[in-house]
Amino acid sequence: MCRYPAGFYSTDQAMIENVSAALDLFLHAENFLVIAIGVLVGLIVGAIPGLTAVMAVALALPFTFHMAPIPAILLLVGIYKGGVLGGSISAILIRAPGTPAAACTTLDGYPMTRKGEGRKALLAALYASCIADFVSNFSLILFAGLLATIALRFGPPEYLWLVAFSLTVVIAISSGSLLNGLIAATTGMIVAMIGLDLVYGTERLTFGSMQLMGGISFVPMLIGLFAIPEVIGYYEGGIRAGAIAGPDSSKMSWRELRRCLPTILRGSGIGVIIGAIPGAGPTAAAFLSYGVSKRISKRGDLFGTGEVEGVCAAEAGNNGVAGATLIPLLALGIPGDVVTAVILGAFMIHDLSPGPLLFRDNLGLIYAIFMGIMLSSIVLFVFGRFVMATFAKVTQIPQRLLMPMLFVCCVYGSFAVNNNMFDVYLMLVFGILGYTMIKIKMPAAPFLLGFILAPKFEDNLRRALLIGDDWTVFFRSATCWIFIALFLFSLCWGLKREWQDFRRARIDRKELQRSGQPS
Amino acid sequence: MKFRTRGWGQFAKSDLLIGLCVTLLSLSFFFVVAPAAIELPRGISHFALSPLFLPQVLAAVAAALGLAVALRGRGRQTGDGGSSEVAGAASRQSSLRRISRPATALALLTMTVVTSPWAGMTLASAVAVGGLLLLGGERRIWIYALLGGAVPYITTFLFQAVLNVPIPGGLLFD
Repeated sequence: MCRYPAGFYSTDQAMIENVSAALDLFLHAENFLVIAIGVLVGLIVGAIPGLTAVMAVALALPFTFHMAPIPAILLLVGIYKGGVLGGSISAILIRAPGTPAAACTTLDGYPMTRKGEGRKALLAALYASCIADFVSNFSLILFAGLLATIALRFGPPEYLWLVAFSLTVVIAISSGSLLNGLIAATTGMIVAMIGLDLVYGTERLTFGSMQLMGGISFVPMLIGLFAIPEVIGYYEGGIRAGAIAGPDSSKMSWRELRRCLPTILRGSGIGVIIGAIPGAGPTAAAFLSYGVSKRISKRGDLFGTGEVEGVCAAEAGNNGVAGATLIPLLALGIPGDVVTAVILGAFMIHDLSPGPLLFRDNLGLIYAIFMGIMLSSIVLFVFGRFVMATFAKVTQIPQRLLMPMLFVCCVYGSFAVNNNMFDVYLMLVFGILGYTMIKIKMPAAPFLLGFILAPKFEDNLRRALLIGDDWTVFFRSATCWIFIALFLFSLCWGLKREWQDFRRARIDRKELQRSGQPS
Repeated sequence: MKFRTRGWGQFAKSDLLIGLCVTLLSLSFFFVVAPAAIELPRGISHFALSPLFLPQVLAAVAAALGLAVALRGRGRQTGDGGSSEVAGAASRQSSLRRISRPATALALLTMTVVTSPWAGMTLASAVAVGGLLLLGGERRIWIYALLGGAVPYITTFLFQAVLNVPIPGGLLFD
């Protein structure tokens, strides 16, 4: 009597055949080489202010025309992953994030550098990134189908509530000055409105300028908001002959890593869920992970002052997206962002169409890509350690030499985005704005978050209204209600804490007055 | 001219000023800038679909927040009002130096950006690097040659030859 159901042996046999076909496709020196090159190039490009992973992936696409499909895809994926981690290097060392998501890493990474713990911050970013990347890859391999099904349930009303929930993170990252943070976020949202209207195509706040019709480019804005104030601020703060920090021999201990592990896993989970939703983006994941961890962690009050857990939270959220963002692409053929759109282009160049049919007809190829993606996480760790050890030496360069070089990188990087001097002018304008914001104690991170999320918020608001006849469309599904609950919970929790801090400060002030001490 | 140390009164006064500025700017945006600078298409079926809707909502929110900041500053001012004042030539001089250095740095950055299209980005950056090194107190000539001379040119080469970005060469080379 047969122990297994009829056909089970044939399913098992098919699985073995697919895996052996995948190994046959994957086990070539070329694949290992392109993964190594891709990750290394991505790390270096991402670490230079103004150059992004997206740019590097787009530039590498033509090189893949004459390659076989698997090395072509793996090269682009390697560059993307390296670029995401590389963006954190400049964010931590010189407060010039390579990507909007890396701006979240700046919140704790740069203060750590100033305290002489830059190497530790880089290592924390590396460990968090690699663990999150691994988790993300596993999710891609094991749960692609399930996550793709969940992603399909997301329509405009669901997206809207997800974005609203992400915006409540502003409360967490504005601690100490909630009102100022909210003003910064609101201003960022208004600046994001510049350009052509998403639905009608009419001009908004362009003032007749053709350059502004495409909106404000986020890379020059990012560089201007974070890096240029550092350059100007250095010359204000009394010339310090020395480096950013003293000799740095800080390390991340095993105990610290263990302490940060729950934060990393939580951030990875958030990154995977957000990454699986097309268009949600790593910025929301990074800031959400940071905001949630800040509230839950016992060291939440230290976030923003150079707390290693803050770096881990931001990086885990950011890198948790990397593998998961391939889920809608591979499972459904829907690119979730610019990078996956370029990777989709690579598939099409090689006459492949990602989606359910690819899983049915070319499972060996899919498995080979999965193997390469898993290997890229290991390569990322190995090369990341080397590159970070090298880049960490930047903190030892005297600032009077570093700042002029940083400025040159910012100018060239801003120009390189669109080969347009207008972006360089924008960088300068946002640099002055960023410096002014520092002087009036207005945080830049909420501004950036508002800028990134506002178009998604407005786009989904209007799409939902176009789909539905009235406002009830925003409450149409269980997914909507889940995010409404999360939104309200996050809002109330954040406001409650702020109110408690405000009352405590007022009581302290009154006591000081009563005791006759100057406040 | 008297210069104040950063007492509670000074901080409160700046809050009041910032709050009022934000409120004023937001209201100007709501009533003047947005209606003038945002084109409205015909036949909008729902007010929330209008291109003007979200910008005006955000401006209203910013105005309310600005008012809250101003009230907070006012509340702190009437509560304490104390600020210590330190007057003297020495503090005046150091304050002037504190303002003049970043102002010079900003002027150099602006000059680089403005002159890049006609002088070329490489030359403009080289001049800016030299100026910033001088402002930073660097005295070694070979550093000026290395950073001011070599770095912009190497960067230009990297962007042009490797990354295929056409860096502006200015009137002479474009």
